Amino acid sequence: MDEARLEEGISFWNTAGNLGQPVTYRQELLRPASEKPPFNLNLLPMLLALEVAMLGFFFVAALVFQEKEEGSIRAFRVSPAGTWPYILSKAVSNVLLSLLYGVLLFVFTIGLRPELPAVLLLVALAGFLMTTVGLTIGVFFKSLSEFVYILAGIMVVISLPVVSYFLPSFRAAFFPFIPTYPLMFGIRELIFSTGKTGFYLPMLLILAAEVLVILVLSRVVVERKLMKEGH
Amino acid sequence: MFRRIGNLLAKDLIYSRRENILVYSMIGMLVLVVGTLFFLPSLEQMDVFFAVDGSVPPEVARQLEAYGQVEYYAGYDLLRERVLEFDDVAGIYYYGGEYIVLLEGNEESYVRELPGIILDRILQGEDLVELSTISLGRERSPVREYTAVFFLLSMFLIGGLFIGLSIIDDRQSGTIRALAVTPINVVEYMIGKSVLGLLVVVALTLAVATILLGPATINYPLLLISVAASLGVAIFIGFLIGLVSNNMVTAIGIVKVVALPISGVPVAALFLPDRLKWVLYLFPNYWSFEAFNRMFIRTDLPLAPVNLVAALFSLGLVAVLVSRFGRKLRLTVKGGE
Repeated sequence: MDEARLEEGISFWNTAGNLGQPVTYRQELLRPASEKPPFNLNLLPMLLALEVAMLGFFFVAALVFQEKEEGSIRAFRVSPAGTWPYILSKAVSNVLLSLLYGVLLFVFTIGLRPELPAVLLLVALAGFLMTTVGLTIGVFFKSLSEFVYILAGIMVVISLPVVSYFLPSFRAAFFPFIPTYPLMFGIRELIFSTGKTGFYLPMLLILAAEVLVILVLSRVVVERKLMKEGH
Repeated sequence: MFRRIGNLLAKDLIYSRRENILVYSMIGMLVLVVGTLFFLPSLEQMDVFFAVDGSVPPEVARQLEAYGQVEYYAGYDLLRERVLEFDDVAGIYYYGGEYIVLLEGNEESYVRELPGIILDRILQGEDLVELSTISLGRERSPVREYTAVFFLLSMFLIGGLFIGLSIIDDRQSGTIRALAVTPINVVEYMIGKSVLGLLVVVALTLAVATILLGPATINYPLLLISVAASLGVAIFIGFLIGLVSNNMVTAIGIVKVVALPISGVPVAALFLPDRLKWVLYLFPNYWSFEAFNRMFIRTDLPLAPVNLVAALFSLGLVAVLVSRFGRKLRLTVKGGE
């Protein structure tokens, strides 16, 4: 560790308090403190992550159960379209719904700002992921009445990182594995930047990788449970 | 009248058994609550986190463990990477004969100040000032109680959902059309449809409170009174879902909309300054929150007035349903679905 490294940050001697006693440490700040957003605007990233991006998670199951009841799935099975178009059509329609909701929420809250496309890209990927997760889990249930309580339970788990959002010094070990955790903080950093860099691309790549994995899993599950069974 | 209500209740039981709703709503929620029990201790003993570099002498690092949770990192770069993560954690390293607290720069004030104060205490080995403490009687964090309150409030949504899904089933199966040629009236229909959902609310609230807080800390008669005073919230949610939605997709949309004030109002009640709290008085679930809050956390405040307001809100909501939605339901029945 050399002196040059220390100078990367903004270093200063801590002289506050201690009743004139010699201090035994000093602080090194890696970035200057930025202005904190007001409480009401600070809720926007949380709403974008929990409400907007998770929209498809709710609706995809409702769509599938509706189609089961109406018999559209049976008709779909004898059509030339396969499982991939079925999954992708559900995911894309829900992502578009999320994007519309996201744009309205964003613009009416803080106006049209240059970071909107970057935020929407995150929301779109997370929406795609959660729609596919909802589809993958939903096909195991007979009806929406059954699934809705499981869905509520999953939503509670997905919402747990809100604790960290309001108490940033707390992070349960499993929080980083819940997609809403990085999503909330990532969106907040994009909208109310504190100067953090290098987080966006890795976040996109991780989300994209998760989407790919869950898409493959969804393909297997939907093929077995929805396209082959006599529902 | 009682026979007609009993028939509706019997039909709801068959529907809930057929769709496994009782099983999923009761067991699903209880599993979730039990799962929360494992998560609660880490919230209750919320420690300061220190990211400590290998350059810090082991005896100092060991002493830091007495004040918070310590994560160890081998080298400045890893330490810096950890400090730059989204959560607030202070890094500590030893360089050139002095200890340096590494901060990202936007941490909460207590995260900025505590590590230095603790380092001071450890390294100087003595208290810089003499402090005496006066206990205000709160021996532990109220996180468990707040978690219980939030769970209890969400049971009204679960109960409302139960009622709503049953009404949608009636609409989709044509039962409402059939009921048009029976002597049943709207009030009887509402009672018959609500009984099972409300029993679910009562059973779940008792179970959730017992699991999370333990039977010794609960005054069950008072809890039942508070739950009963707020049951109008569940009835209102249920009939809102059931009457506005023609199908499950719309029902899910309504649930999403309703879930926002249901979860948002209690959160706002915690964070809004007192001068703005009057805004929340307009929401019936604020009074439910306040009732549970006074029962388990602010036990120094009187509970009865809040229960009274909650009960008045409940009666008001049911009256709105009977007069406004009741007409709509009757029209629907007469007009044929």
